[in-house]
Amino acid sequence: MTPAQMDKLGIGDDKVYGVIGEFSDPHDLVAAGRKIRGMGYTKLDAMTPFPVHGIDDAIGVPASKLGWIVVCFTILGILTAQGLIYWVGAVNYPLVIGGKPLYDVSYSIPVTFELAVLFSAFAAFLGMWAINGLPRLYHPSMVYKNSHRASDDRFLLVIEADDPMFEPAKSADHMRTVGAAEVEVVEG
Amino acid sequence: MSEAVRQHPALMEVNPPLIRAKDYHDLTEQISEITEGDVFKTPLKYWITLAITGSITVLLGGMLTFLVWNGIGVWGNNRPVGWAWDITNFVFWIGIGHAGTLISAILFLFRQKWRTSINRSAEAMTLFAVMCAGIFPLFHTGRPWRAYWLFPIPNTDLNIWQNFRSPLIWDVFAVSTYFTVSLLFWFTGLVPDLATLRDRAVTRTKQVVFGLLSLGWRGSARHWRNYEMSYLILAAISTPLVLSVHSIVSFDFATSVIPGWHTTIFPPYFVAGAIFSGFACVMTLLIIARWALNLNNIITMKHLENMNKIILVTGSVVGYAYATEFFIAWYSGNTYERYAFLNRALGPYWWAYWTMVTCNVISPQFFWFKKLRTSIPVMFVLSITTNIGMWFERFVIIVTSLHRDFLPSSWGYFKPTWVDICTFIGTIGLFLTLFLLFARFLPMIAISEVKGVLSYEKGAFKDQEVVAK
Amino acid sequence: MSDHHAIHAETYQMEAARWQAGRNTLAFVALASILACLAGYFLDAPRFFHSYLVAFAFTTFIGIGAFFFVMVQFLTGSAWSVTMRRIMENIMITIPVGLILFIPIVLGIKEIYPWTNPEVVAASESLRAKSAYLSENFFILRGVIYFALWSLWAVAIYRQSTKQDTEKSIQQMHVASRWSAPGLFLAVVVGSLASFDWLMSLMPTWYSTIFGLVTLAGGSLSFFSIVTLVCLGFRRAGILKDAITDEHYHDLGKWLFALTAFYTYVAFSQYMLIWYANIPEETEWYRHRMEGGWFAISIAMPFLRFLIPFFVLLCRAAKRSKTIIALIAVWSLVVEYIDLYWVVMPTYYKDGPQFHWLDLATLAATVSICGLVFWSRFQKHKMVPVGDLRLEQSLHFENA
Repeated sequence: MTPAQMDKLGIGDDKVYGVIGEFSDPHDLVAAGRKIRGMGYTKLDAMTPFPVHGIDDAIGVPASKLGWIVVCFTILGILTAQGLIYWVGAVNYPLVIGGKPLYDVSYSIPVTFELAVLFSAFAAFLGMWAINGLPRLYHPSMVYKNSHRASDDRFLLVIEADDPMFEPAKSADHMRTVGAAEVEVVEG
Repeated sequence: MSEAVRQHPALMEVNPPLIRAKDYHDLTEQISEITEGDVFKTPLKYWITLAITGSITVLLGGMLTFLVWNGIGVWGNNRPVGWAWDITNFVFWIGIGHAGTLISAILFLFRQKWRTSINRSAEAMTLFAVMCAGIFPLFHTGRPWRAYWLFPIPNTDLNIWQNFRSPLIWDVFAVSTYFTVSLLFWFTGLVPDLATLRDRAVTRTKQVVFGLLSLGWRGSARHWRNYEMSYLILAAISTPLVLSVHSIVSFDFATSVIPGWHTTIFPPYFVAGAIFSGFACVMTLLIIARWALNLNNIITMKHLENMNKIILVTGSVVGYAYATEFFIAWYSGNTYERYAFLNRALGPYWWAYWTMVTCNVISPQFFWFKKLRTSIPVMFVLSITTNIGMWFERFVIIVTSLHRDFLPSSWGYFKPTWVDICTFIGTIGLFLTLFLLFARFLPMIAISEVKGVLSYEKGAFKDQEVVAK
Repeated sequence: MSDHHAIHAETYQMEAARWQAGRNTLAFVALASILACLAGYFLDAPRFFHSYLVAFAFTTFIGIGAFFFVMVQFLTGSAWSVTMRRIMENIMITIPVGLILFIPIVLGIKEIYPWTNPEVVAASESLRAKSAYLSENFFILRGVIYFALWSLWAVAIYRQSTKQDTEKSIQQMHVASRWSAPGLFLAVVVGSLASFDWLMSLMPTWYSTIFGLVTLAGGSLSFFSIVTLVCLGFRRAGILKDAITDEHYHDLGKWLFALTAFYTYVAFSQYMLIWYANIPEETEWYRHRMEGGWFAISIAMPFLRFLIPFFVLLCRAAKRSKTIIALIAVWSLVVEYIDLYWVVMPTYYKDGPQFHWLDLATLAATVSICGLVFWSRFQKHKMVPVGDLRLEQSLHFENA
């Protein structure tokens, strides 16, 4: 019984994370990723020191949904600012200053703009970490002997263990056939 | 690009490769070794510089303590010049910060690849400059421990609210938003590089510190996709933000009825001035850092030249604004408007006005010549004169407009006190100290972004065999 | 060009038949509208001159926008836009026609500008103070100088670009950049002065330092709208289909978006500062536009100029949709016209806008005359700068 099957049945102590293949050139990584995906794998990932152009299409990374989250928060920021300025100036503490109306669109725009930006920035920042499931202290990929070079000059391709086609030995072979310099079944 | 360059080698002259590194690992080494070196083996010149700037920072602390102890009277602000050095310095520092955001956000949106070598330090500079700027209004309140009254927090001790009709409260929102967003943007850019440092760390302390700061970043393709989206959004919102901040600062003046303050071109004029002074400041710091930390391979002459071109453009925009203001003051046919501008140029503060014009409008014109634009000593001197000129610009706007207003019997002449001067010098010390600490302990160059450019250029210049050394 | 037999997409030369059809249509429109304008002049001269000023400002500032952005491309060494640069240059080269289009303004100066009336000037202290500047002869002289300077630069840069078609050397790029750097000043500084002269002095006591930037921003937005529409029109006819790709349209969309935002920024700055300071001689200008029928246009402006185009273009998919950017381009041009109308006409109709057939006739006249110049270039020169070394790069350009 392969570790993956054991894993599915819930037996065995070792949980397999997947097969990692190592490349030293981003173009090779993209080409290899495309081939691996062509074999029918769906749960693929890559670990690279910088965002590699074309990898998203090659291994099927879904488009980011962050934009929608940010738009919602931008609108929330606009509403908050307008509500605040109106309520403070015209409802809770109405006071005529400099002959200006208690509420007017003209002078509410600077603060509204700033709050819209502030809310959007927090959404873009926190939203990104939330979607990515970070921060986290441990990840199984860290077990791989060269994982520290994925932030330097190595480009890692991963076939994850929860891929329906995943079988450690066979997947490792597949990884070798697409040109990975180093291949390892990683248990974490 | 690759095709174009292969067919027309002449293009190399126009777009030479930006980065000189053998491979990705070489690049990582070049940048990380500055941060990773043994603290006790840092060159002595670094510690000496830090000691000097550190003592100036202590001076700042002393001045602020003295100010709080005695009250705002120790500054020279008085009728008719109620806003003087403090707000001049505030606007000056905020302006310095703007180049950082411009380099990281606007040049990113314009796909200017050369920005990657300088954006990190420029962003850090933004943060430090905004900190210096914040000190002045904060302490001008007289009781900085009550500064939270500036924010619309329901309070029981006063039971009043902020006046949203006042441009000063817009400033509170603009500057605090600016600082927060710049911090988020800067940190977002820093995370992949912190992960690089974590992975290279040899001591336990560094592993733990960088491990925590890098938030478990592992460079997963899925993460990169969201990360790039987040970065793009932050860049896209920072771009109007940076315009808005200095526009709102300009509203502090332009919403008034004071001749010389009330003019509709102020918002874009202030923004251009801010970018101008900010680029000059980045220039000064980069020339020093490039020399002290041997970054010639990463911050190349091409980078410096591009920045000089931006200094030339923004300097000229500022010149355009001066000319328009002057012309419209005359064109208005309004006695007070006309007088305010004549008084600037020929009145008691003529020396400040002409310093401003010389430094801001005339001196950048030297950058028309390629020879001067690519000469390190020339650009160093001009970057400093630009900063002097831009400080004087704010001084001219603020002081000359206030010291003689509609009523000749209330005219006066402002002189700074020693506390004014020392506080300003102190903020320069704080700024430099923070920058030195940053340059030594954090990656000053965005490693992952520079690698992206290197990867692109490797494809582009394959045939030219342009490699390091 | 002499390869008459090879009507292949890659010659980048417009087919003669197609070119003639275009020229004939434009010439017909020009002729008809000029006749209509002449009729209008005899029927209602003041009305004709005011309508004409709107149309004149509309086309002139589009030309200045083209002038500015062509020079920016040379200076920044922009690669993505090379395939569209000739279209932009052909819009730029309509500037010299302005010398002729300026003649009706000269003829109508007394009808259009209140400061030509000595009684008005004598009654106002501030007008007396600037009578040296706002005088008829000086005004005309300035107009001629503006056009002469712009034309000199535009022709010089255009020549370098077309010379490169045959020389295929990097030299022309350098020369064009050398002209472009001071040329930017000419576009912005002289462009601002022109806007002060032609539009701001309609209310001679009023002044605003940002007015030049507002006008130039409007002209630039219209310029990008025209470029978008011309490219899409060509695409429909099967011209330059492979040269101007989806990626280029995406970038045009971004420019429409950015200039919409920039226009709003400067226009809002002007409004807000004048509203806030509430100084009588400044608020007067907006006051006129807040009364009667003008109020409706004033209140619609934020929606027309900003909210609608901005939020439509905000989404990436919208900027990549040719239908949407075509709609926004048409929208921006219509709104630019309404905007200029709103700047010019309140001095003539105090109570509100009254549309007149002369508005259409004058607009058709200036647009078709500039259009003829624009079109005539396609016969003489290639439709893309084939000698530009970055053409390949532009053809394969992709938005990252």
